[in-house]
This record gives sequence, structure tokens and C-alpha cells, in this order.
Amino acid sequence: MGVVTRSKKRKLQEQEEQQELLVLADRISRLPDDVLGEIISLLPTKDAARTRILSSRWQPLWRAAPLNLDLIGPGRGRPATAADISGILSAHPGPGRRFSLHSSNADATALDGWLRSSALNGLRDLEFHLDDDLLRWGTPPLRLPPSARRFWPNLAVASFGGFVFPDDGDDNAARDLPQLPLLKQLTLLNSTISEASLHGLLAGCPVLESLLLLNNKGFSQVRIVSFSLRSIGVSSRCVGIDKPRLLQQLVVEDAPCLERLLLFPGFDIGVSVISAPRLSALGELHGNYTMLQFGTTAALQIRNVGDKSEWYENYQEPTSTFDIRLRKIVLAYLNDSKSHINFAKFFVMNARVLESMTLQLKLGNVGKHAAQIRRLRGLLQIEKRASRTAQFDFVSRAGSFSLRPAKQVHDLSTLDPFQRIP
Amino acid sequence: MASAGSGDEKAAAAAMITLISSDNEKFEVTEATATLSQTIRHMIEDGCTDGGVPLPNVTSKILARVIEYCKKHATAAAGEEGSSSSFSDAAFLEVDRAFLEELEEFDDAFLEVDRATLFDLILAANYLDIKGLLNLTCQKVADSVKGKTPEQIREMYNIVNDLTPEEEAEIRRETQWAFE
Repeated sequence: MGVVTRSKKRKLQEQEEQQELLVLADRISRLPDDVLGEIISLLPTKDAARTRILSSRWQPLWRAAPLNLDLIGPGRGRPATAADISGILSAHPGPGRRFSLHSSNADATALDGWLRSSALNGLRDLEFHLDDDLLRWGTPPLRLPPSARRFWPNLAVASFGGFVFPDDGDDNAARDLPQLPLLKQLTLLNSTISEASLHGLLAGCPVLESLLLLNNKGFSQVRIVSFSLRSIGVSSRCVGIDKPRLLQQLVVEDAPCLERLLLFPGFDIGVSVISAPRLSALGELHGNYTMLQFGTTAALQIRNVGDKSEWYENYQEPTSTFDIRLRKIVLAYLNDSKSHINFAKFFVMNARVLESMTLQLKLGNVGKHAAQIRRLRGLLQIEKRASRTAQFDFVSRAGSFSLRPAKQVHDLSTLDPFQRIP
Repeated sequence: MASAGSGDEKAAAAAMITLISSDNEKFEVTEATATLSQTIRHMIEDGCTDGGVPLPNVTSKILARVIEYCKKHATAAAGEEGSSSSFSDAAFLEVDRAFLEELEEFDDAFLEVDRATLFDLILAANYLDIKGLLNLTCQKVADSVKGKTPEQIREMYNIVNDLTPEEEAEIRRETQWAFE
């Protein structure tokens, strides 16, 4: 009897296991259409469209979900051709969620045509980057195509690479500048825009949270007055052959929500932070900044004038009780010259809630230079630091950040924009 | 709602809601936690939560996890609301910051579940209309599929291919660019 029971038990167990397998079998396909559509819309376009071939259940889903046309960036096989893009747009009925394209095709008419497609109706995210190489070889930047205008009211993310924006000299500049009432993220890359137009553009983005200005020309100063901006990234460099006006001065006039201010490699940019009470992450700063100023009364000025080989410094001890609430600071190319040391020491002595300061040295391998680092620690008077809990990391220039600039600036869910490849 | 005085808000924050799982287990949660679910929020607004909210599509095992998520994120939402009015308060910033870090770790750990549980969480998040949880869980599935071939995806999720070779060929023809 006992044997029978045991075998019965085993049978029952097997049945249960079978049941469990059945339950596990293809659970994914039994998710509701709109959930599967959500998952598909999170995939790059090729991955998304390929799900049609999984089974008859999946076949109609890609076309029913909002289109995510994402062909930006490397590592997606051969570059997308104009025919691919037209193919995608004609294969999908819309609406669109995202149009993200890194293109080596400077054909404004083609772009205008694509953006007219009904597959993109209701787009929330528009990213179009013209290839650097084209600009380097003198291809003129693109104008925003007229068909892009229909997206302005709904866009949450916009990224333009290699565009020229309407100038104040143009007849319809005010009309042609995008008004982006819902925009949260804006990137301008390798683009040309006048100072007045840039400020006009920013004024047209009342809820903008993050702004990345990389290697643009046409303006030498940006003034930030924004009650919504939480993160700003800038660099001053330029591809192309004409003599540009590059960004030289960033003034954060009033930005009550600003948390991150990131400077990317390029020419020096003078930074003046007049009011940004929440600013907590600043970097990467070079020891030879033209000027870095906190508060209305200059708390710190480092100025370089005249001959490149000779730094003249105008270093002022903080004259006000201006509170520097920085938590993360990255300083680049630190050496032991007096101006560099004073510059770094200013933060050591005054950033009272500092959590980490990363000091990049011009050394291949910091591990081999323990004595030099000890010396620097002494010069910086780290023992007397204002924030007792602050960490000081000396790293070699060779190591790099693990996040790309766009992610460092726009992804506000990452807590440390300066995380490095271990 | 917007005109409610601070006294009313306090009363609302303390109000408790009973959620009843498919297997009849009762969970008592604050209104702030429960209203992360748009579905429950609407029920509260319609005044039909007396005697508990039956959730016939959600087992107690999954409901417990969903509540765990909502509790954590409800605290975060409350923090954010407060921060806009007192951003210069240094002490508050400390809390804000530490909490965000904790929240990120919580989400990562929360997603460490087997596939069956992940699908149950997706279904619950969809039914209860909890946007954050739905995004989090769908992203996890999308990440698992990204860059895989159709064969690999079928194998991973036990998807049975019921397309005829002709139908497959047709799909490949229609969206040729996806298969190159």
C-alpha cells in the first residue's frame, strides 16, 4: 500500500511540476496588449520590430504600440540608410514616441519628409544629430525643418546636433524659434545659435530640467535664469572650418533648483554662480579657469591673463559668508603650482558638506606616485578640511567617467554624475 | 482637493484603507500609500472603499510586494512635495539626498525576483495603475530582450512559434531592415 501511495505522490508531484511548467510556459505572451506594447516601445527599433516574428500573438503588437525610432549611437550594425528610415516610417502607422537618429545624411528635405510622416504623430522625444565628420569637412549645418514645428507643443526631450537656429537678424526669428512648453531635456550639439536666440529658446522652455550645450558656436555667454533647471552641462569646442564665437562665460544668475553644473573638456569657460542654493555637484574644473565666482561678492576668483606660460592669479579669500553647499567636486589636471593648489584648497577649506573631491592628476598611474600624492595632500591641508566626512580621491587622467555626457547631465536618477569606470 | 486646508490633509494622511487580496488576506495601509495606485485613488474619490477594497486579481503574495513598493515610494513622493517649498533648508536636503540613494537601492533589490513573480508584479501594476512600478518592471523585461535574436527570446520565455514559414517570410520581407 505504502509503495502505491508513494508512487501516487510522485505522480501528483510530477503533475504539479508539469502544471508549474505550463504556468511558466509563455507567461510573457499572456500579458495584456498595452503592457507588451509598453515593453516593445522601450526597445531600440530593430529589436522592437523583430518581436513581430516571435509568434502570431506578437506579430501585430509592434505596429499597435507607439513607435520608438531609435537608430542613434554605435553598435547597432551598419548605419541606417535613408531607405531604412523611410521603410520604418512606412511600416508603422503611428503614433510616435521617439525619433532618435544619428545621421550622415545632411539632406534637409529628407528630414522634413520624415518628420511629416504620420508614424511620428504625437512625438515626445526628438533627437537628430548630424554626423561630426560632415561638419568637420565643411557641410553647412541644417535648419530646423518646418515640419518639426508640429511637435513643439508635446516634446519632453529634444536634442539637436549640427543645426543652425534662426538668428535675430532673420525676419521671422521670433516665430521660428521653438516654443516648448513641456520640454524637460534640451541638448544643443555642434550647432550655431546667436546669444539672443539661445536666450529666447530657453525662455520658451518653462519646465526645462536639464540643459546640455556641447561644442556650439554663435554665442559667447549664457545667462541662466530658471526656476525649473536642475542640471546644466557645457563645453566649448567646435568642429567645422569657420571661425566661430565660442562659449566663454556661463552665468548662473538665478537657478533655485540647480543641483548639477558639469563642465566638459574644451576651452576654458568662466563660471559665475550668483544664486544656486541647491548646487551640489560641480566638475570637472581645471586649475586654470579664467574665473570661477560664487555669490555676488566674489568668493573666489582665479584669473589668468596674458602670457600662457605665466599665470597671474587674483585669489581672494571669501569675503562673505556665502555658503558653498557642494557635495561632489571634480578638479582636472591638478599640478602643484600655487594657483592650482589655492584653487583646490578653496574647496577643501570652504565646502562644509563636501562628500567627495576627485582630483585628476596628469599622471599615467597614480599608484606609482604615492609620495607626490602625499605631498599634494599636505599642500591642500586636507587635515584641516571643512567637511570632516569628505573623501579625497586622486586619480589618473587616463581613467574616465563611466557615463556619457548626455547621461551625466540628463539622467537625474543617477546620483553620482561623476562615477568612474572601476 | 487643492483647496483642502492643512488640517484636512493631515486627516487624510492618517486615514487607513483596507486592501483585500484574491485569497482573502487583508492589508491595512495608509491612504498615501494606497493612492500611488490610480485605480484605488479613483475608488477613494468615489467614496467606495468602506469595508475594504477587494482586489480579486492580486494574490496576497504579490499584494504584499506591491504594498512594500508603494510604502517606500509614497514616502519619496511626500518628500518631493515638501522639498519644493523648503529647498533652502539644509537639514531637509540631507534627508532628501540620503533617501533618494536609498530609493535607488530599494528599486534594484525589488527587481531581484524570479520571472513568474516579475510577470505577476507587472499584471498587478497594470491592474492597479501604478505607473512607477509598471515602468520599472517593463524596463526589466525590455532589458532582458534587448539585442537578442528571436530564437533566443523564444527560448528564454518559452514562446511557441506558431507562424508558418510563409508568414515568417512575409514578416521578414515587410520589415527587412530589422533583420539585417
